[in-house]
Amino acid sequence: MAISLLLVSCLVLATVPFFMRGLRFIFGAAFLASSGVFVLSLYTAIPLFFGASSFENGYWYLDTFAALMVLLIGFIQWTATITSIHYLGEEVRTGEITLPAVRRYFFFVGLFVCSMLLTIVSNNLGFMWIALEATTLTTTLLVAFYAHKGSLEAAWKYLILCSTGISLGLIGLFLTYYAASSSGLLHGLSAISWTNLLTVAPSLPPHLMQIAFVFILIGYGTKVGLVPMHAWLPDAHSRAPSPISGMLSGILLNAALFGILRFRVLVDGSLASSEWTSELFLVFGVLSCIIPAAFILIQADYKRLLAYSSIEHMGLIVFSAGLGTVGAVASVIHIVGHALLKSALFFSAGNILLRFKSTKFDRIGQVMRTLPYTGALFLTLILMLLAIPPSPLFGSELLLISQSVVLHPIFATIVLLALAIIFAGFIRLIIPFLFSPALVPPKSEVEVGEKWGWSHTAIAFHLILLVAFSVFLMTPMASPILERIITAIS
Amino acid sequence: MSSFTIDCLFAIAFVLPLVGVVLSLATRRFSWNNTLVQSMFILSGFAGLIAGSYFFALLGIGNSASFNGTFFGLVNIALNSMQVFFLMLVYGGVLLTSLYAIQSLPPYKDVYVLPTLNVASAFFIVGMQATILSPSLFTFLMAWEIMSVSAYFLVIADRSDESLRAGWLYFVMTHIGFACIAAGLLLLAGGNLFASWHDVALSALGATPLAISIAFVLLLAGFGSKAGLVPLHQWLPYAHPQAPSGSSALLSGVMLKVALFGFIQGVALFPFVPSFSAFLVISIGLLSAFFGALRAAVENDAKRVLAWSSIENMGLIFSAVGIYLLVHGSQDSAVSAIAPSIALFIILHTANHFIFKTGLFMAVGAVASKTHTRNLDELGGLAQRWPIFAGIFLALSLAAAALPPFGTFFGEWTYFQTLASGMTVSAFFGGSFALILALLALVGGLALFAYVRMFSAIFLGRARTTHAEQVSPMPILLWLPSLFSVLLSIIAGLFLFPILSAPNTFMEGVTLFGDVAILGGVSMNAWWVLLSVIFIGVLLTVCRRSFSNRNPARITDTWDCGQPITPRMQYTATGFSAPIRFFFKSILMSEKELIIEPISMSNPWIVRRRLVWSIKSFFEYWLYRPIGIAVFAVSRAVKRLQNGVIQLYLLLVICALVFTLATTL
Amino acid sequence: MTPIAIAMTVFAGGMFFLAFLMSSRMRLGSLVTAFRVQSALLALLAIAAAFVTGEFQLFIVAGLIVLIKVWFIPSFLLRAARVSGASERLQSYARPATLSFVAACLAIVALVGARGLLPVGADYFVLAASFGIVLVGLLMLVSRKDMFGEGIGFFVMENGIFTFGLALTHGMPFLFEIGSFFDLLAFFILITVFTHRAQDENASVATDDLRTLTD
Repeated sequence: MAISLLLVSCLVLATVPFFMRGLRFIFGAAFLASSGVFVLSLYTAIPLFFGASSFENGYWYLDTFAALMVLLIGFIQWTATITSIHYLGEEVRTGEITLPAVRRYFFFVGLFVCSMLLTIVSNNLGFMWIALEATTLTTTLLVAFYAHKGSLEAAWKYLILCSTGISLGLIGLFLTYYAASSSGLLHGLSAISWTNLLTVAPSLPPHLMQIAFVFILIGYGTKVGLVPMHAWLPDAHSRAPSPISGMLSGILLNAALFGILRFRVLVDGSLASSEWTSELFLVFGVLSCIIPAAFILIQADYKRLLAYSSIEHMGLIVFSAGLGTVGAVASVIHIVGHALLKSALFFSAGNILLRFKSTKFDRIGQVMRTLPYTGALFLTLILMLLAIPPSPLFGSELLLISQSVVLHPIFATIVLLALAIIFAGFIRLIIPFLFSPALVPPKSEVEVGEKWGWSHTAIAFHLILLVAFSVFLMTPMASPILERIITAIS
Repeated sequence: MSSFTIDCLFAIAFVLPLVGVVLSLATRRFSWNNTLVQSMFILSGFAGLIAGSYFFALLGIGNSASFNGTFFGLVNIALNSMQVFFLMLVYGGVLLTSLYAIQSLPPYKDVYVLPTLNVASAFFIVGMQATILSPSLFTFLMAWEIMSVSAYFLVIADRSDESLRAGWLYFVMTHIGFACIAAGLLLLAGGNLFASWHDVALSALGATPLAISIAFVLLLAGFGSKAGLVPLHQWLPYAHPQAPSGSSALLSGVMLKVALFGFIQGVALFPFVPSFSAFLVISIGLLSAFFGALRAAVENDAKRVLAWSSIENMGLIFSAVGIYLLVHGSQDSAVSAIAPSIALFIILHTANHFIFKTGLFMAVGAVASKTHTRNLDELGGLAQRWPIFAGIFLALSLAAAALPPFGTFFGEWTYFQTLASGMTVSAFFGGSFALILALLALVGGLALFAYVRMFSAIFLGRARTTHAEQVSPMPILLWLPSLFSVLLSIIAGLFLFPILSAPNTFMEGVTLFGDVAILGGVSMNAWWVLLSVIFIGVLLTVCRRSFSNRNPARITDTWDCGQPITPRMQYTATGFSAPIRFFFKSILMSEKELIIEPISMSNPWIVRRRLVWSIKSFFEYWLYRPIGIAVFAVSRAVKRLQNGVIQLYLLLVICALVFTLATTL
Repeated sequence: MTPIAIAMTVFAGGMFFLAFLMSSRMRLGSLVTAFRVQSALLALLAIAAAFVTGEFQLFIVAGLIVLIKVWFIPSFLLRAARVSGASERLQSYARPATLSFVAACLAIVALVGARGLLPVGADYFVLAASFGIVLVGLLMLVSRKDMFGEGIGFFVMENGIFTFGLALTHGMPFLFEIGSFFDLLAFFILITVFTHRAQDENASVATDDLRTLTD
């Protein structure tokens, strides 16, 4: 029941702004609705961490891993809404966008969050597919939100590529259905119910499931941003409004990965070992780490930089997922850490964009001096993204290295090389960005100094959560919860 | 003094810098902010030094001395004397440099943001302590990262372009080094990230020889890069000069030693070292020593001279570590008897280098602070302004050049004597030790040259530019820590050497990694040496007074060919090092370019001549630049994938699908 | 083979033949017409499947196919193209003859591929045809140089996937079908919005103008 309420509240978020006149009321309504979503997600998810058993009925299935994702979605959409209020307020003030556009914005955001939650909580794999396609459709107009040159292009590529990918995933879904129903095990709606499939998994024909998984991996993997299906990601995530980019990078990629992991459990059950899926994960993970390294090293645009970094981190997560149980722990930690970090980074980037009106490194300099709060937050977040303690990514990357060095040394070397190049690229670009004057002077005078606003509070929330998460991981309370999450994905 | 007190003192020493962080941020508007924070650091250093001294007094100096600390019941840490020794270096360094920083930082308060600089220093200090104290693999790696990152912020403290570039190189190299260390240690630990050192050693017993070799190379690369071993040293000459002087002193004097500690601790986990390891370490050590000394002799930036000198000294220490690896655990008792003396040299030289390098960095920092330049060609004549300070600097330079009565002399003498007596053990050792001795002689000579050059360029003669002419008196806390270093150096020579070398104390059943019998005592009495030096000094003074020309000195113009002589015509540091540059031209790749530009169009005989000379960094030119060019070229090639054509993107998706299906079917 | 099976084979074969034709057609009008006929054949296929399995809902699905894919999407696509002023003449990367050749090769690939999944029989041909349609749809996506061409390529691919579903499973659960129709509708709406906007902003719907976002 709570889940249905949760989904309905997203629809409330989507529609309520249409009934409001006046910007303040729109923002107020959006904030309230978004907070409602957040509170309901807490209510739905938290019990599962503290001993409640997984919730299951014909339509919904919520285990600890899904609860974690619901929690992440709930929190990040909340801080994204807070940041959106600040961001859109500025843009309306400067005349970039109009009031109806704001209403449309929240409409699509509400639908987007609803479809993401649907992906996570669906027991029915068909609904999961529909929801995943719906996430693409609802966000396309958000990517194309501005009338800038390039927004249309980014949205078009996003639409075509992701929809093609999801359609390939549909082939995989059909094959799974066929595997279940042709072997006479299940029929009708129950044949695409995940819990049912899980129980009959060992009897599913392995070869068929393998082919199905390949389609799912490539198809849903397009949405996750795995190389070589990643080409839409830098365009879409950099052209969208920054709070949307934060949500896309932070939670949408994870939702698609969630779908892949659900299927993986089925295939592993059918094959009776996770070796084959692990191999696939390793290969795609390594590719997704090393290719973005080249793009990050010589990048001209900071939002694209963050987008390529998302591809790389998804690669790391997928790579860890192929490394056994310890690797699964690493990937869960990495998912949480990356989601919180990348969304906060995009929110800060939004502040920088508002002030400097450009996303190019050439035109921006001395961010620390111009925007002290945002600059300091941005620097801290970047350092945490680069896996410097006390970031949770430090732990997850070390766990990744510890497993891969022993199990797959060659892959480990490639991943470490990629990480080194990415590190070099980030420091090379971000530090002068923060401290040195711009290479090309901006066209008009840039105002210096800033006040602490709502977006800073939201970003600070993320930071506090990250540090708290790291500390929590070192306490003994963490292991039982982690264990329960891991059993859900292996 | 009970072990509980020692425990408390160590805990206080660890926590006080963190208190300093809070205080630094809380009181940042007040003018006494810096003094307060530095006092916290000084107290921390004091507490640690007292704790360490009591440790040694209570438990002796042997390897069997160990102590279980609980840090107020929070964690369980076992300390052995190796760790406490390095900790003492950390605390000593913190004490001296914080004392120095009380008066050295305020003049720079517009260049550095002092509160955040002190926060970075605090984390740096805590990181170094934590690295040494860490009982397990994960905490070690975490502490190492914290130490490296805070050092980065110290390097980029003044946020100038040069600092940012130096910081970038440092950060990237330290990160790569960290990856090597993590990979190497994890290989040994068999993938168990949370293993304690004991567990790592146990699982290393089951590692394959290939894994052992790879792990060794990785550890050498990682720790060696941090310690400044060639060819992974490139960050050091750029980064150390850019940090504030007190922090440079810590970076050079202490952080390099922490890297050494890490390496020793790491190697101790190996069940056996690969056969090539000793030679690898020795050759890298000697190469670093030679290269460091050579570059120190030709650099013009005073701090860079000191940075290269650090590379030289760390190279010496690592060459000794290599020899230790060679002789340790050998079946032949004559061979393995060399080991304790080598261990003695390592300990002594680590301590001595720490003492004189910290002192020198602080002294050079004081000079730079007052004259606003670090360029040796622009200084001069400062001995007349600051006679006492010049004396201190001279003493430190002599210590750096390993001359008696300073401690460095005794350490190096141990090394030379051990090598010389080790030559008789076998023909193999005879040949290789002779070669090493020859190289050490070359290195020693170059080092002496470098320090004489630096001292004379800064202090002797006349001021070469206005920078060095109008200088105000130096505040006391800028030269007092350096004076303490001089005294420490002499004390090290007088007391440390005999304590550590006398039989039945330190060397009793002690080496770096295990138990071996003692070599027949190294023979030298430090007091005799000191007395001889004083005696010779007095004798020389008396002789000069009595036998020199009775006529009073006549003050008049120097013979100047009718041309007024300016201080600019003095022998410069550049000129002084010209023979070295000439001799090693191929390594230094020095270039001289004479640029002649006519000033006016009508008269081509009136020209402006400009002489530009430069030396290229050998490894940067042959190793780093090609790698960098290759990486960037590959990146540019890969970037062409993202050409904006959506059909290509779709084709990539299809190819991925086809390829994966093909491998599955 | 039963009459129904023959009918299904004929319908599927017809669908693939139309896809093969569509791969080389460069005029928007003829593409849309071919798509209409293909969708009509799909509806007939669904009805045949309904007769085979006896599930009533497949009739509703067939009805929806007619409504959405035979009438709504093609008409409004043409209308959108006309209103936005886009050119009827479509572009591609290769000559039509080359595209036809490639499509023929894909047909062979599809026949071989389907063999690995099912034994020869009625269902096998339908499956092979569906593979072929999907492959041709992908070919269109990759080879077409304008937004309309790509959009239609995607719809063809969707048709193929749908046929695939019919062949393998004789219809997926009903709710799922409804949901996927909604998705398709939304997708179509977005396509029209974008082509309109592209024509407004760039005065063309060629993807050559959508190549500015590079690194």
